[in-house]
Amino acid sequence: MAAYNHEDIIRYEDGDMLPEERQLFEAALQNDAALAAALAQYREVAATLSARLLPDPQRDALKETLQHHRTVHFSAKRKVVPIKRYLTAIGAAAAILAGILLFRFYSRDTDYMGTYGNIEMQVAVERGNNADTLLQSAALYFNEKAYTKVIPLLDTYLKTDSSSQMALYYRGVAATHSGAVEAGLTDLKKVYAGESVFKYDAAFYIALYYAQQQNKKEALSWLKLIPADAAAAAKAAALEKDLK
Amino acid sequence: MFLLPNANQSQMSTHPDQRYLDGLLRNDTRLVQEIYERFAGRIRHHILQHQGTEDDAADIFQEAIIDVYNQAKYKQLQLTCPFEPFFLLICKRKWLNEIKKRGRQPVTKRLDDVYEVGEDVFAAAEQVLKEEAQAGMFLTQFERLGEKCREILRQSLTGEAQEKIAAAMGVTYGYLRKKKSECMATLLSYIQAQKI
Repeated sequence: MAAYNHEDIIRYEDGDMLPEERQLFEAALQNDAALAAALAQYREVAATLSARLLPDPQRDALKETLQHHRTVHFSAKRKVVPIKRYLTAIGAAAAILAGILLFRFYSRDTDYMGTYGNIEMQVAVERGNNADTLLQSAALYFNEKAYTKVIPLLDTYLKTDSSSQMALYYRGVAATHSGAVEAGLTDLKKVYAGESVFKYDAAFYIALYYAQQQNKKEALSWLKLIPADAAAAAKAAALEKDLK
Repeated sequence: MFLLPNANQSQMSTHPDQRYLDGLLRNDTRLVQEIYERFAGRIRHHILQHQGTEDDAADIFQEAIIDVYNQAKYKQLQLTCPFEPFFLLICKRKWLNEIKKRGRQPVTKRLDDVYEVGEDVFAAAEQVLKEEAQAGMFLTQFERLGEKCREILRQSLTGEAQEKIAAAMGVTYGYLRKKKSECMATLLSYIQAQKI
């Protein structure tokens, strides 16, 4: 399009060319692919700006509707521990930080567990069979903090699916809460040794346990195992800061 | 596959899920509610799994709906595939782009790890994302123009007679025409530079 520039294209589109000049321009369009492309781009830009910059009452109304549903379906206060859909046998599971757990057993001057240890167990049922029922019941008790009732249910579940890192993780957490600390830490260390999505959540929870025990050295060593791109990284960084 | 106006629409039938797009266009609150009820949880789950927060998930979800609205309204998007995988893929792709923008390394290699999508769904979602990314780039370049240029172009886009716009802006018709041409040429050069 050596003979024409952007301003010529705009004059053409705006009808500001004289008839003879317009005729020449249109002839050039037939033979000059670059000029035709530049004209198409101008039209695209003008149409897009027109669509996006000019008021659109329908879009504004839709945005208002979306804003309403946002507050209903997404909570700004909710913090979530991410969990990947894990094994087709058990479907999806999610862990959510919610509320404050009061751990009298662990209480010390600094309540790290109360600040960082609020875990909720959620189970998405896919198969609707007995294994799912076990998980659902375990989640129910877990979220009611009835940890001693969680452990036998997850024991049974793990007999049918010993590879379930999710069950192992929650059993580990439940065990540490119900006084079976060694067993709980053993479960959590097994989860950390694996490659599941719970790996770094387990590392964080072990660190949290040691932090609550005022064993800062051990807590920090576990926190260091959590990479920056892990889901638990933000919590780990915050706990590390608190410990230092 | 979805169709633009210049495609041969008559050869492809619109999917019944076109009702979602039609509903967005008329701000059908029940349909918007259905979209949130059916998909918000899954998008939250996905984004929280992939380094995001609840707010990130809400933002991405909302932006994706507006993207679909814009495409339906201004690009005459006609859905010829199911809405669910199409919409979920748009959300996931948008989040992947956001992660990259924030300078983080995406954890997953495959975005469709939870949801197997067909080529038609993939193409439709990609097209929406491409169009919306382009529109975003145009607007970014528009914002680089001076205030006067932006105002002239904004006014010119209304379709009002240029004489009227010139009078309203307190400039001569000749000045407005010249300035509009210069401003648009500058904008086009900015946009061209982005594509190189």
